[in-house]
Amino acid sequence: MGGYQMDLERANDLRFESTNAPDGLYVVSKSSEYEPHAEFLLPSIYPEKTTIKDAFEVNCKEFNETFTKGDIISVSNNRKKILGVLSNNAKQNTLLVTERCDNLCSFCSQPPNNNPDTHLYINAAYSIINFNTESVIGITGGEPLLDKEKFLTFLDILNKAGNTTPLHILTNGRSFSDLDFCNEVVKKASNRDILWGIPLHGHNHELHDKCVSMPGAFVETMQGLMNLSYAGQKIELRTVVTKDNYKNLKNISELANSSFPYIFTHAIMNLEPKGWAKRNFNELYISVVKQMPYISDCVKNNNLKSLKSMLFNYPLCQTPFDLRDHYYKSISDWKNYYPAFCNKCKVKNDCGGFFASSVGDYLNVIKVEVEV
Amino acid sequence: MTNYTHLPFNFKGLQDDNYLVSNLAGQHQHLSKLDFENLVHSKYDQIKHKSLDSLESKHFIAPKNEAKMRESIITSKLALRIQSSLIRPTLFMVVPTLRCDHDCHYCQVSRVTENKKGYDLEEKHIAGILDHIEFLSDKHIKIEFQGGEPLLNFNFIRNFFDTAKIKLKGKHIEFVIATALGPINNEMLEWIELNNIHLSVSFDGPEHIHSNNRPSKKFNSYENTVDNIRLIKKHFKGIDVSLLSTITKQSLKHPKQIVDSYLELGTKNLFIRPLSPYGFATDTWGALGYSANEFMSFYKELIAYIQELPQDIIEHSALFHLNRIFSQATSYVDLKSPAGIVFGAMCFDYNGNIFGSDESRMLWTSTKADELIIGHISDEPKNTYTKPNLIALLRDTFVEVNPGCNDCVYSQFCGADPVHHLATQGDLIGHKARSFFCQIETQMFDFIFSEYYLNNQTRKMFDGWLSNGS
Repeated sequence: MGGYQMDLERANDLRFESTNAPDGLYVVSKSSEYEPHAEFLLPSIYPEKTTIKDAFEVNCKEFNETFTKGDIISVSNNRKKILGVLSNNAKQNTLLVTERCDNLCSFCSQPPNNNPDTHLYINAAYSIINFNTESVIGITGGEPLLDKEKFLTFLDILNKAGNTTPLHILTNGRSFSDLDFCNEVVKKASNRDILWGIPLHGHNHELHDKCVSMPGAFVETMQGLMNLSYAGQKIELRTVVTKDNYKNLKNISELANSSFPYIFTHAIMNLEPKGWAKRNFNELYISVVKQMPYISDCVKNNNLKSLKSMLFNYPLCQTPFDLRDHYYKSISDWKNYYPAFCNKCKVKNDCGGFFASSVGDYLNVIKVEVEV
Repeated sequence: MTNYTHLPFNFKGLQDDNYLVSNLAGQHQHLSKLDFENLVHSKYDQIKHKSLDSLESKHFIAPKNEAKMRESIITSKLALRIQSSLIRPTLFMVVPTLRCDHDCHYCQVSRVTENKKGYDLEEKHIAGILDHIEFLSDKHIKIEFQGGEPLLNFNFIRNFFDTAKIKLKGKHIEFVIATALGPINNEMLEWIELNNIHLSVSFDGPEHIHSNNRPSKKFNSYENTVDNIRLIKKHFKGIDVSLLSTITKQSLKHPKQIVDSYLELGTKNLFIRPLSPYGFATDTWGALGYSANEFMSFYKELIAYIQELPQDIIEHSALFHLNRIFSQATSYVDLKSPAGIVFGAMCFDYNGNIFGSDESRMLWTSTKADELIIGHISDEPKNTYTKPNLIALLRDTFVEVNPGCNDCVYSQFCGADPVHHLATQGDLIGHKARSFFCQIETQMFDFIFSEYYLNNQTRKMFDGWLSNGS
């Protein structure tokens, strides 16, 4: 079962010896005390023999080191694998609800397809309800709001179960250009804290539409941002920095500041060489050294307007000192990489390093840049 | 080349062939003369690339097919800015007495002498005032005791404070006493420190200015003020003292000495205010007053001197303007549209009258123009703030549509001051070409924008103030 993502300290994908559980989602239970959620319950799965009615058992070597009580896992009998879906050990849990998308960003790390997605929305809702955490869970796609009905149903299911888990939802915001839909979502979102991560890659339709390879996207995203921000929702603006837009970062910040009542944060993100970003790397990647003066202009302008900037996916050594307040060690441990020259570095522990998702040319570029 | 169109904007020439444009979204942009002319004549392809991008980001121009979306952004921003000015008052001024131990020539409140009877606010009104404050306020408020010299009715202050603590429990209240420190003694200071009350002290600078502006029959007013500030700084370190200076004709030649006198008292926060035409100041304007030009040349010298000095000094009047420009702050009651009357400040006078601003009560004291009175402390709060007097005072204070303001490049950052115009011209809007308020503010904005965009050194200092001092 693909599509779930977790930032785990260690592998969350285990091979099992045997199980009596059919394919599907389960709540990890480790003692007979476990009481499942009254409504919308998922079946329990135990790493030992159990006599509890309707519960399943699995025989798996590293189960106890990997999963804790209350985690949500998925069982695949074909591959004889257990996959962690939501884990208490994870620093950040993220659920994918669709792979469909109406933008075609040249730097997409998870290129879209037309696969069926109803089960993904339902599974995500059930996982969140059964996990029942007050820590933030990320919702990603595809474009989670492309199918408006499914997204509203997703919120309905959560609300009906009385769930209040805070969500960080990544969306291109275009669906919010429909004011009725926006108001509907805002109404259904009222009993939880939601941070909407919405990309703005250009300060006009020419640039933004080029980045997302979709004519008309800019105007819809801007209208969506308007509707959502005036409805008082919390918005994280996201800009992926490429050769196309790095000189316009300050203009993007200016546009946001002159257009919306309140933006919670502005995330400025270096390319993750994965998916299409890897394929288009040479056309897209602009050296971090060249980005930094423009990032600095953008951050200064944000500071002046009291908008908080956050830098994601950058090596610390290439981040100037006056920007380090905005630095986030964002590349998770399981997908980062420190080239050999990092070993002498005094700030290695504070640094996210580099994405391990690419080798060869990409790392050569980085290596030259850092050593020079 | 993108097919651009321009959206509405105001403009003004700054010094040395520079231009400033601003729009209803609250944005501004500095342009060279060439870029400005190209903008005006729709020669977009000849505008410098950097300026063009910036003009587009700030909704001065838009690709034709984005124009409709941009228009809705501008109108929403305008609505938002007006809405965020319609706030509950956060500053509540209470006048425990109009009596004073100083005889300032410019006294804007028309104080009475120290022993005169009938000019104290009676303690029986405390409950009523607190009813009004409770009815009007949000969680965070400031209560400021004004005078006269409020410490001459110290018992009232103590009782008011104690009652407020009980009655307004749950609110965060910052208490301030605006005082010249005449009657202060150790017992008062201990109580003030214990209760974390701030002092706002009038300090006009070196002795020959301060004592001349603010004489007292009882003592040398300069020595009294300075000695007491030193005493507080030495023995009552917990008391937060801020100083403010009213500028008179006598001050104009001495900007450096005024800055030095702040530094001698260990204070790096300056607050420089021009004289206001209320109270005694209307009669003494000939002797104490000056033109906006004269004030601004003084002010520019003062800012230049601050820059020469090694200390990090902040001048708060400029900082209020900077905050208004860059974060559209609505916290400074003088720079608000609609005006900050009730939407910002309130004043409870010694005789129980309620005013929407300190200036209203100043003007009432000297003119007895009853239309300035919003109500009386004994009125039911819920019936007080919908009366015609208040509506009449506020009705014409949307600067975006005031004649003389509607086409001003600074209208997005400035404010309406109806009481000033009532005092000086007899009507609430006033003819801006003859308005001292307009002259001072226009020149202040001229100065701040010119310095910010044409002088790197000042810009650095202003940026520092914005990031630390606000």
